[in-house]
Order: sequence, then C-alpha cells, then structure tokens
Amino acid sequence: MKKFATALTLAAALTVGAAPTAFAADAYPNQTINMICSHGAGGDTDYNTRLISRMLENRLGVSVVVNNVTGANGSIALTQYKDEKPDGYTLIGTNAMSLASNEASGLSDFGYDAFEVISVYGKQCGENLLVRADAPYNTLEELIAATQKDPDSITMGVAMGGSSYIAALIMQTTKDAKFAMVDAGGDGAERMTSLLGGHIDVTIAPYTLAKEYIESGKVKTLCTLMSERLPATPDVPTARESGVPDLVIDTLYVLLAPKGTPKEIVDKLNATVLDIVNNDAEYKEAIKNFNFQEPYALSVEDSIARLKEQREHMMSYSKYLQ
Amino acid sequence: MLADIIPGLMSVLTPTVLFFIFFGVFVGIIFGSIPGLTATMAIVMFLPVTYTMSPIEGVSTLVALYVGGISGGLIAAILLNIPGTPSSIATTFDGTPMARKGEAGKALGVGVVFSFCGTILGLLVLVLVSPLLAAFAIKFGPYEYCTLALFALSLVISLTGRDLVKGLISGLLGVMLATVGLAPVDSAKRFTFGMVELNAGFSLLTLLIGLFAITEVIKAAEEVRKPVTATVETNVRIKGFGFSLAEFLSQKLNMVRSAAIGIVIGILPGIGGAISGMLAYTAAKNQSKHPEKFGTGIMDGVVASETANNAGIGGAMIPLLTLGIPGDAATAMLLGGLMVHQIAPGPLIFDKSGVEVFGIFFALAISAIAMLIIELFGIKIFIRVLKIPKYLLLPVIMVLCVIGAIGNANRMFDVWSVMVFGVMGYLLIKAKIPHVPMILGFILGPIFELNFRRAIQHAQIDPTGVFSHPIAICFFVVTIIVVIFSLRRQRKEAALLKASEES
Amino acid sequence: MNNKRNDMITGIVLALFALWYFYEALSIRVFAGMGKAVVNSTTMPKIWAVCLLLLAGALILRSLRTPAKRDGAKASFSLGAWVKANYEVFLTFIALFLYAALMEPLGFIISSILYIFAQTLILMDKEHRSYVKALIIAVICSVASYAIFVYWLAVLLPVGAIFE
Repeated sequence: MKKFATALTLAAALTVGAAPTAFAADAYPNQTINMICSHGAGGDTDYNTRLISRMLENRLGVSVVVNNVTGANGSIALTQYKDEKPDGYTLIGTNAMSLASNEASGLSDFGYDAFEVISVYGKQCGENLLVRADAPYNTLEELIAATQKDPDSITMGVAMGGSSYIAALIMQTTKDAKFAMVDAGGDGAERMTSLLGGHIDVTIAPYTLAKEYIESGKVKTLCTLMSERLPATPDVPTARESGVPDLVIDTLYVLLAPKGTPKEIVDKLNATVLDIVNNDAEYKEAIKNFNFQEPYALSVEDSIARLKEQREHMMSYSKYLQ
Repeated sequence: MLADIIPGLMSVLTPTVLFFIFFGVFVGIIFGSIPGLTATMAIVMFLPVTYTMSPIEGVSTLVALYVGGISGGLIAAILLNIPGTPSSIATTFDGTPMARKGEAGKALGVGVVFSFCGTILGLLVLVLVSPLLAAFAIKFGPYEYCTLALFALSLVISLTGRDLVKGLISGLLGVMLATVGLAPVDSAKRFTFGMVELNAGFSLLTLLIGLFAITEVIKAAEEVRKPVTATVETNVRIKGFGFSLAEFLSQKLNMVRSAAIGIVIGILPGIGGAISGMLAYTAAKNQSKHPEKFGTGIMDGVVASETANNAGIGGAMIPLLTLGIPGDAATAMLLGGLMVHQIAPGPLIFDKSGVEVFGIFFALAISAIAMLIIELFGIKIFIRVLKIPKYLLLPVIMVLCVIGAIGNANRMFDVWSVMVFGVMGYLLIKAKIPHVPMILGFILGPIFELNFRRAIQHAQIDPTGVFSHPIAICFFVVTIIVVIFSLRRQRKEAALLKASEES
Repeated sequence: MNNKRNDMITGIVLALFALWYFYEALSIRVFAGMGKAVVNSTTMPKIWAVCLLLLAGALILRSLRTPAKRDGAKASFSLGAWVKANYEVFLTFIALFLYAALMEPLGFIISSILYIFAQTLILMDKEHRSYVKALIIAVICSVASYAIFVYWLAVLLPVGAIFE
C-alpha cells in the first residue's frame, strides 16, 4: 500500500513538474529572440546566421534579431553570452572552427560543451589549397615533394592558430612537408592578395573567395580540404584523395544556446532548423548561390558528436597553438 | 564592356533607386555627423535590409550610406570640435578655429564642396585606372606596409606643434594603448589581466569619443563659472557656398594633391580615412607658403582633410571591386552586400557583372551630387546648431555618443572605455599633451607591428629579400628625410616662438 | 601649475607607467608553435616601453632645467582644492560614471533621462538655470533616441535589469 502511494505521489509530482515545461515548450517562442553572431557583418558566418534567423522568424512567428558581437575570433561573444539566461530567447550563431581553435589555443577556457548545442546547420564550401597559375605543381603530392626536395623554399601563408595553420601542421607532421610558414592574415582575402602579389607561394582560402581567380586563370587550386569533393567543383580532388588522409578541415556553422536551456526548447529549435535546411527551397537556393553550400544539418546528438570530433582534432594540435 | 555603360546608367535612373540613394545619403550624413555613429555602423545596420532588395537597389543604398557617412563627419567636426567619424579628425584642426572666428558657414561650405570634389576625383580614378592601380596595390606586402606605417608615424613629428617631446609621448601612448588585446600574428593575450572584454582591445571609436567628445563636455563644464568671453556672432546667412570662386581656384593644387593622397591610402587596405585626412593636412601644411597659419582657421586645412577622406571612397572601391579586398571596415560590409547580390568582385567583375559595376559607378556619382545638394541646403540648418546653448546640446550629444559606443559591438565595456578615455583626455589636457598624435599612434601602431613581424618572418627565410622591394626602401629613405627635415623645422619654430615669448 | 612642475609630474608619472608596462610585457606568452622567431609578441611592447621611458626622462630633465616661475604656485596639490576649483568638472565626471553604471540596472531610457537632466543642470550657469527645461529635454531626447534606435535600427540598448 505504501509503495503504491509513493509511486502515485511520484507520478503526480512528475506530471505536475513536467506540465509547466511542456506548457512552456508549446508557448515558446512568444517574444523576440536575440541571435548573437560571433563574427562581423558581411562575412560567411554572419550571412549564414542571418539567413537561418530570417527563416526561423518565418517558421516561429516571432522576431529573430541578429546582433554582431565581434572580436577575438568569436571568443568575445561566446564568453559574454554563454552564461545568459537559459530561457531560449538568447541564441548564439557561430562556427565550430572558432569554438575548437579558441579552446585549443587557450584563448577560451571552454569549448562546445559549455553550451547547449542546438544544431550544426551548415557546412562551408570548403577551404582550397591555392597556388599561382604559373606554379610548376599540379597536385598536392607534387607540392609536398617539392618542399622535401628543397626545404624552406616554398612559402606558405597561414593565419597563425587558424585552420590554414592547422593544415600546414598536418602536412608537416604527417607527410614531412617542409614549408616556410609566414603569417599572411586571418582573413582569406588577405592571404589571396598576398598570393597574387607574389609575397607567398601557397595558401589556403575558402572557395567563395578563390572562385573568381580560379576561373580567370590567375590561381589554381590543388585540392580542397573538405571531407568530400565540393559538388560545385567536381574535378577538384580532396586532400584526403591526394595523399594526405589526415588533412580534413570542415568549417561548420552552429547554433548554440546558454547552458541549461530546457531540452524541449532545444529540440524544437533543432527540428525547425532541420526542417528549414532540408525542405525550404528559398534557403537552399540562397546558400547555394551565395556560398556554394549544400544543405547540411544535423540532429542534436549528431551535432554534439561532430563538435566533439572537431574539438578532439584541434586539441591534438593544441601544443602547436599555445 | 563599354556596352554596359548605358544599361548601367539606366538601371540607376529609376525612381526607386534614386529614392534609395537620396535616402541613403541623408541617413548616412546623419550617422556621419553624430559623433559616435559612423558610416560603417550605418552600413552594418542597413546591410540586412538590403538583402531583400534588388541588386542595384541594395548596392546603391549601401554606396549612398558610405558617401553620406564619410562626408557627414565634417559637420560635427566644424560645429562641435568633435569629429563625427574618424575620417574627419583632421577637419577639426582648422574647421573649429574657423567656426570660432565666425566663419562656420564658410567652413561648412568649403567642407561640403570639396568633399564632393574629392568623391568625384576618386570616382574618376576608380573608373579609369582601377585595374592598373589594383595591380599596384597587390605589390604592397609586409615590407611596404611596414615602412609606410613608419612614414605615417613620422608624421607625428609634423603634427605635434610646439612640443616635440610631448607629441612623441602622445603617439607612443597611442601605440601602447593599441597593444592591449590579442597580439598580431600569434594572437597572444597582451595586457588583458584576465578580463575577457580586453581580449578584443579598445576600439578606435571609443577612444575618439572619449578624447574628443567628453573633453568638449569637460571644457564646457570648466567654463560655466568663468566670465563669458564675447562670443563671435556667427554669420548665419551665407551666400551660395560661402566662399568665392577665386578662393576655390586657389585651392586647386591642394585639392588634387589631397585627393591623390586619399586615393592611394584608400587603395591600400587597412589604413583608413583618418590617416589619409591627416596625411593630406600635413602635406598641405608642409607645402604651403604660409604653414604657420594652419591651425588658426584657414580653408586650406579643411580642403585637404575633406578632399582626401572623400577621395578615399573611390580609392577603397578599387581593391573592393577589382580584387574583392575591402579597404576598410565600411567596404568590408559593402563586400558582403555585393556578394549577397551575386556581384562577385574580382578580375572578372567587368565581364560578369558589367552592368552592375557601371551601375555602382553611377550610383556613386549620384550619391555625391545628392550629398552636395542635401548638405548645402542643410548648412543653413546646421549652423543653427551653434545657436543652441551648449548646456542643452552637449548632454544630448553625449547620449548619442553612448548609443554609438553600444552599437559598435554591443557591449557595455565600450561605454566604460569611453568614460575612462574621457578622464584620460582631461589628464592629457592638464599635462599639455596633445591628443591627436595618440590617435595616429593607435591606428598605425598595430599596422606597423603586424607588418614588421611579417617582414621579419620573410627576412628570416630570405635575408636578401628586402632588396627586391624597392618601394619599401623608398618609403624608408623618405621617412628618414622627412624626420630630419621636420626635426630641423621644429627646432627653428620652437626657437622663434621662444624668442617671441621672451621679448 | 607652471610648466616646470607640470613637466616634472608628467614625466615621473609616465616613467612609472613605462616601467610597469615593461614589467607586464615580460609576462606575455610567447607563441611556441612557430619555432624560433626573432621578433615575438613581447618585442614591440618592450621597445615602446623603453622609448616612453626615454621620453619621460627627457621631460624630467627639461623640467629640472626650466627656471621656476615666481608666481606663488602652490607647493602642494590637494584633491579637495581641485574639486572646489573645478566643481562642475568633478560633477560631470560623477554624472558620466553614474550614467554608465546605472545603464544596465535601470535601463537606457531612465539612466539617460537622469544623465541629461543632471548634466544640463551642471552646465547651466545661474542665470539660465531652469529645471523644467532640463527635464523636458531629458525626457524627450531619451525616449526619442530609444525609439529610433531600438525599434527602427535594432540596436541592443539595455532594457534595465529591474524590468526583466
């Protein structure tokens, strides 16, 4: 009898406890959502954040206002907003590379697990390895061989601590490539200019920036650093295929919420995002045309797994990033 | 390609686009003229709005905001002694003295007309020679930027007025202030004391507001109890532009030289309108027949500064359109705007988006005209601002500045920075340390350090490399010459002043 | 304060600052990943600190060489005297810092109203003093700015902790 009573009380308590949250999830959202973008307006992280925000606005029926809080590779925004009220009305749009590299380099003392992950909702069109059109190498293998023949003769422009630097490190540690590394700017466009101006011989930049130059024949791309070939450039091999299997760098766009945001809210947002990315024609067209991106969105568990993977990958290089 | 000119023109001459251009220029001027709000901020705020417009509408609006924003800065610079945007810092040097002499209308007229001329000159260069200049700009690497920054830093000597030691100290303090945050190249945390907010360092805007705007409020506070010195009656009625054709023609060399400086600095990414205005001002002063009059309120100073910063618009658009490299923060936003509308900057832009490109050129021209019209009509209204008592005007300006500080990066830290810089500005005034060199140092210090370190990296790989960079060597030599000459002139001037004081 | 004392104090303060800056620069982390680099993130700060020290020294030397003017300059500087002599400046600083401090708890509108009201009164001299005028301007400007910037331009101005 006693056991039954306890069970009943427990069940009642649980129902009473669950009801408000369930009720809240139904009522969410009912006011303006603040979307903080960790990178500057006009860039690809910002574009993706704004686009998904606009789509979320349509689906959720409330205003989603994007505000850029820039600085320090996104760490300012992430640090400032990770402890915000977890009511689902403050969200953060950033990219996974920033999260992982900030943690690995010690700039931030937290990683993706200091947040509730809503969704990985996009994948960048990839970084390409670029050389000038008149360079004597046509594949990644040729390039690496050239560096081994004549160490330090080929200058590679990287952004210290960034994905281009990691790429150079991977080639150096796994394939014994001997580049002379110089800093050429955190901005892909800056590195491209450096390449064109003859100040460096090799660099890595996002495809969106390189496209015009590849098409006009000023620059050639030896490979892409993504995990698969970019559908927009089916003839460009991946680094993996070109003999450096560890060289895979995917930049993912991710939506985060402060830790403690109720699971129902996270799930609802995730479902909405997945719906938009996979089914919304306007969204798909926009990202394809602007960023040559293919739709790519993951469930909450998959997102967390992917972020974990990236973080471990970065952390394995953390001693080079200190 | 030439076949795209007419369609480009026609695309801009529609009522909607023209409306957006006028609207954009108007809003841009407002943003530019309010200290704390900048052209970049205007573009950032309107960028998302333009995503849903047609390409030519969207890009024209952004261009118009840019033009309005850069030129609007002169209004506050002349009337309030607070630069509305960093580009107009040098305009305060002679603009404010002119206003104090009762020539505010003339100063505004000069500023507006020469802003227009500067924009048009920049546009002409953009249209006619961009590919050549773009190729030139690419050649600028770490060695060149490093020596250029050094050259610009040496300007501090020219701008320090009487006290060289204090001027250098000011510049140095600016450089040191700029080291707070993440270091260039390796992003090491410097002077952050564990405070996350300091990781991004201080922003130029907060320094500007603190040093210029708050000090104005403090100055007004100091004068509350002082006996009211006879205020010069401002001539509220001005004829036409406020200055004569003869005066206009006397400035033609100044105008061309300042425009050239503005365009070159605009083409080189990362330097900005503040430096071009100050460089042009210094050049005008050095090459003038009456350098001692600079700073007392002559139109030459305003002409130099405003022509340069507006010519820089055309200059900054050159690498933007032909290379896809933004010249400054505002053009970085423009780049985003272009790409959203599928106008891909780069070597193929004329082939792929020729019509849009010519549309942009015409939009720029029309924006300049719109700016001229709006501001000329506005001068009569703007001057009345001077009639508002300071005790009403300044507090409101401060609030707007604070909004600007918050809008800059959405954090309260910037507001606190403004207050702290205000205190610092007050201390600087009391210590008789000039604050303009500090701004120069703040902007140029990071540019110098970044490129110096990169240059060293290159030199470590190839020690003879520096000799294959004649431009850099040139800059370095010119810097040394300029420094020697400036020091000599400083000595002469200081001796003269001392002699006249003691007699 | 005449030039001599001015320069001397400024020089000493700057020299101390330069020393402190140099000391702090020593604890900047040197990036190990790049291997051997001749110039690193501590190099320039150290150079700047040394330059400042030299200039501050020049200032101190100069102040020692300037003859002291005989105009009865006060031998000591007291905060109380400064406050009394520059009362409005002191109040302005207080107003500004309170404004920044109250912005988040009270929100933009209220803190701006308070600030404009206070600052306007500070700047008004006796014959123009009008509490009503100050209040009206304060309210209108604060509300109008908030409306324009928050509703139209979507700038994140603090709402005020007490309202949340």
